[in-house]
Amino acid sequence: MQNRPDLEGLIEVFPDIQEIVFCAEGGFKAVYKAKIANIYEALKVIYVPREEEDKDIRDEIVARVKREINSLATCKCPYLVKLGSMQPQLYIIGEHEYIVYTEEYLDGHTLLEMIKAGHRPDLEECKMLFRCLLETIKEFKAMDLIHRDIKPGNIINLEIQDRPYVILDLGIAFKLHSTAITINPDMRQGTLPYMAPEMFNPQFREHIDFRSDLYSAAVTAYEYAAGVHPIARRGEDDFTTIYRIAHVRPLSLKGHRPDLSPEFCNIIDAMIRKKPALRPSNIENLNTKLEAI
Amino acid sequence: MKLYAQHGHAPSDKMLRAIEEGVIDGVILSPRYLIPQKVTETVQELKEKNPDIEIIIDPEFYATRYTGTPNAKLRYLEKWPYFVPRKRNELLVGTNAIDSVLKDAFEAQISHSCTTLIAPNIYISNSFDSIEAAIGIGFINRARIVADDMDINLPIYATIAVGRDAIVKREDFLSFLNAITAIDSAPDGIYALVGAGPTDERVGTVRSEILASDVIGGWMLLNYSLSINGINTINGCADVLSPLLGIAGGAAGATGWWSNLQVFSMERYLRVGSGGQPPLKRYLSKPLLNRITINEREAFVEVVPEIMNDLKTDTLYESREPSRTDEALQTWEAISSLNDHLISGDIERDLAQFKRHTEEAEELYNKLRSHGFSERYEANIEYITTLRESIDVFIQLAEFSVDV
Repeated sequence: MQNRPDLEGLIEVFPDIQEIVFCAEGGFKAVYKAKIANIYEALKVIYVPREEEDKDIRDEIVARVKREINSLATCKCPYLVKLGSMQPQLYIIGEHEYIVYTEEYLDGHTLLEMIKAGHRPDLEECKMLFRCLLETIKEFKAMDLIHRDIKPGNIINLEIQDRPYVILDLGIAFKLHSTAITINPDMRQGTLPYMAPEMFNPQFREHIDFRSDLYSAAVTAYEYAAGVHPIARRGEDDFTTIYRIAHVRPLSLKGHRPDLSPEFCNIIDAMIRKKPALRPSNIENLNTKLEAI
Repeated sequence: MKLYAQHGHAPSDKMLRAIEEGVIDGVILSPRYLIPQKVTETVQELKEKNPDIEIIIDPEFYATRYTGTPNAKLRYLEKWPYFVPRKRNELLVGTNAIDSVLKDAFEAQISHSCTTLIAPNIYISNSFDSIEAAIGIGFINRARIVADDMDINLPIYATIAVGRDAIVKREDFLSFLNAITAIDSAPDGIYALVGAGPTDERVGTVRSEILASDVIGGWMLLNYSLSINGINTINGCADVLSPLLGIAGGAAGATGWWSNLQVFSMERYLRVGSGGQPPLKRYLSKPLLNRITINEREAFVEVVPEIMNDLKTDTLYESREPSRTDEALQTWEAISSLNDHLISGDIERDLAQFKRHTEEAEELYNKLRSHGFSERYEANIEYITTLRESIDVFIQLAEFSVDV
């Protein structure tokens, strides 16, 4: 993260918050575990350049945080992270400005950690994960929202019956029929190996819809089940990955997991097709099919 | 896959007999050949033969483009209340004009006891990147909404009437598919018509323009992408392509008794040329996947008896010249049987089986040639090859990883 604040700085600005522990960071954002009024929450600290430094980036970050907060506040789906007790506000920590707010603290492992640990989910786990993802995407769709960053690192396994998997981070969500936030319209937001092929279309803003999230969800489910990414290969350059996303047909999931039901593998295979029109997109039908497996 | 009779000129007793014989599942009536006041009577006759027969009316709204054209041949179409040409801008801006056309067309169909309603649409002649396509999507998008506003509880199918040139322009075609498969209030199905270029009037040429692997492969893709998104497709004027479209996921095919009901062309709505002789009567051979004349059938069967269908309607061709009704019944029974034989629902298996069928058809043509029947041999082989290549085009477009 750019200009990550040190713990001392945070403690000084937030004297009532206890047990602040660094968890993770991204380009402009750091996440800490922290105790607020005796409850653990995820403290999100987002660096905001001062106006005189870079007004465009500042405006973009502020707009993104607003969108994320509004979306999280509106979305009722249990499989999406909830906001915490602290409302977003601008703070000066050390020499820099930050937007700080909290989300609920989710005590579990990300799918990425589980994949790295060699976890091999059974069919029920795979189905459950996919159902949670479908339900969340369905709600995003109703809100004209595209998450754009569904990936194993953004999904937490909670091992709770009514919230087995929870999606994090709406930081780069795309709102259909809305003013663009990204300053550079040619810039593709997302994590490359999980980006849908249509994202690489020169007019991608005209082409993306909820099926881009369905694609990322299926790639995530594939990787979780198989332990390997369906398309990207470790160590390859971005150009090769983009070529593979656009042109290379992945091996069927049943090639890696012959023990899983062929029907489940077929659904996942179909959802990672290159053309959005070839991805089954009727979420009700998909849920019915998953139930029947 | 269901098979419907594509209604047209001079139906006489063809559809009634087909219902009696159980070789069709329904009829797609053409308002061009029906005075609105007479439709109820026609429907009643059909229902008397089988109360469960499916009744569909193709509003043929796409033919309004020829209203006022000196050589238009619209017959009774202009007597239907919804058949009023609209200005392109009217249809493009807002939804009032489209909603009004949809409402009038639905009302007309409901009043005639249709079992499925077809939403009208315009003809997309040349490209999906066009004003026509934008209007076309408007009609598809509004069909369900207008039907819901009218409290209609019947299946709603939107029309996609498109020229083959639009289908072969891949990028735009795929964008169109992306658009229609993401419509929130999607109709229950699509009534698809694929027509040949707008300038040719001869049915033979029209047929050859449709019988191209990139057109058939694209038409299959339309059926496939709609079916995986829970949308049924009824393929009008699909004739012998019905099994291929069914393999790809199509819910129904349709064909009629005249060649212009077996392949779609907008030129049917224009008066061109001075007519000609009535077409020769033909026999649709399942093994050959093609029609042959009565004389050919008699001659071929002497040396290659495998060209026969072994179906009930074969007897209509024995020891007498079949009537036009017999010919139509034979066509419907043959296609219906092909559908049953070639479509199992396992798409990869069915594609492989159809390919084998084309290879067997080619062998039969080779056998016939070895017995001296070499007339149109090259054209027939090219036709069979086209059907086979259509499967390859489809497999590539539909991103199948099978090698059939």
